[in-house]
Amino acid sequence: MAEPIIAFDGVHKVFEGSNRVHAVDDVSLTIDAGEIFGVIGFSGAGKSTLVRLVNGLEPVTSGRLVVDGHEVSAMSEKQLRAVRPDIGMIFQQFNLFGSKTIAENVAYPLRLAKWDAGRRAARVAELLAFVGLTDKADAHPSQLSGGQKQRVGIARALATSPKILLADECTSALDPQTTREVLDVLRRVNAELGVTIVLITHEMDVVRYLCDRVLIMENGRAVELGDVYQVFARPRAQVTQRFVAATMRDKPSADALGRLAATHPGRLVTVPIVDDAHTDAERSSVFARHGLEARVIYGGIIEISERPYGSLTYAVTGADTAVDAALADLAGSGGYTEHDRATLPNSEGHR
Amino acid sequence: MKFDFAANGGIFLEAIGTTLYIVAVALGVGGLVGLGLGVLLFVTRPGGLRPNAILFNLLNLLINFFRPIPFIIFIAAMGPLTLAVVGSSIGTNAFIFPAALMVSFASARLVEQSLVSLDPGVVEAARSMGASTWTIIRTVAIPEALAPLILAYTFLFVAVVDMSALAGIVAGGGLGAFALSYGYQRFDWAVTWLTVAVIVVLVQSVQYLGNWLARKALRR
Repeated sequence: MAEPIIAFDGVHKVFEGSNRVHAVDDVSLTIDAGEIFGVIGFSGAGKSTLVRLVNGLEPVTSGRLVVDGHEVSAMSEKQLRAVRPDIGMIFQQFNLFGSKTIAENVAYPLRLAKWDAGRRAARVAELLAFVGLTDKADAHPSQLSGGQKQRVGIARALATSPKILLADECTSALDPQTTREVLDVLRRVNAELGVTIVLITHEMDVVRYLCDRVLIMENGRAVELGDVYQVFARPRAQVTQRFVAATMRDKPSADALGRLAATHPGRLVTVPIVDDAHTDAERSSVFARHGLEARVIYGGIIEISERPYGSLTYAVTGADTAVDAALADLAGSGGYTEHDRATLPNSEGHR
Repeated sequence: MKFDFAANGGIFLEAIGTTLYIVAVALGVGGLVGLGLGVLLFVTRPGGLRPNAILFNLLNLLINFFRPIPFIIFIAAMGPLTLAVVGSSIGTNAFIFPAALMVSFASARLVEQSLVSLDPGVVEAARSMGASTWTIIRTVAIPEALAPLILAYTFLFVAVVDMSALAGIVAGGGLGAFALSYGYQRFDWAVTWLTVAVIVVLVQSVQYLGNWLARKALRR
């Protein structure tokens, strides 16, 4: 794949003080040019600090951090200032300048870069057209909706044509509809302009919609890193499993299983739908092949990185030996989970 | 009621002029110095743009030391310094010196407070674009905090008018001295009340102007 544009090597960030915080604890990883890299974690996990190391808003305590050929971890504030126009940043609360118009907000980084007025105006018009806000040029931020404000934030961050865009919880203050709008703009930023995006979020939905790879952080540590689909399909760390479970409500809770068991006869089997080595067709037809009746009683399938992912829970009726044979097939093609009726709450009824 | 405008009108107008002069210079010079000090406090405070504990604590101590001194005592205590700087310890300019000093300290606090209440996010956004500390102060912090700053200076104007009434203590003239000498001590209530009326009108108009400007700054 592409060259790494950001490389963390044993990076630590410690906030000294009465309550010392080890916000980033020995992180080593690389982010490739052109990818959309997600960082997910609960609040306090250190993800915000991690991205602020990239543009030097927070200095690295120890370790080596190289961004686009610059050794950021060894640079002074003054040297960092020269690098920052190549690293755009957008924020949860948008952080637009309320005293300036939309056009002035977008023009601000160009003023800093000492562009003349003519070039500035042309660039601002181009950027506002890109985010679809040409008609808002003379409005003030307070006159815009949250989604529009974030689009202005994106236009402003892109003004100096950065190679990297840092997005700090950029959709956390937005409703789902507007979130989608902003994520679509980010997708275009990546696809059309080739900008590498590092996106922090606590919503797995945002990650699955947009990111190529995802890093899961907990207590300052990088606990899991991988291709978004793989992380969803095979979450290893406990915290990752929590995030996946919070997004995917495809697996019935014990209570739900108890209720389902009471109304459906047969054996209860949950079959994961994972688009990897095995095809869905093979798995969904397994019960029919063994002459069994299988009814879907719970489940859900979503698309992650344009591939299906989820699980279905069946109530399977038929001869026990045939069921066992079908389950043996499933075990060999991606696995299954059988729910033992005896251990379910309130599971009187069929057996 | 025996205010003789023909006889005392000139003196009255001169007193108004003196008060306006005191307020203009004390507020102009002190307000400017205070703006600088306030920005310095904002920049050097812990977690600020350029944290500097020594400078911040020193400034803080200085301001906290002078601020609580009753102004009339402050004028007296500053006597030797006033003499050295102004060349005289009496007269209008001898009053303006301690007044400007006190205004500096007061406005430093007000400016600091206005800037501290600023959303730190906008400052961080400017930093992320590569803006220097001075550029952030000039192009982000002050413009974004303009409305509270205008109100702070309006408040300060009223405070300086109040202070200016003490100019008579060092023979500095002005409306305070006029009201006392020509009104109170001559049992001429009309003179005192007229002075009150002028001050009320002055303060009200400036407050109105300040509110209007602040609203304009906020209308975004």
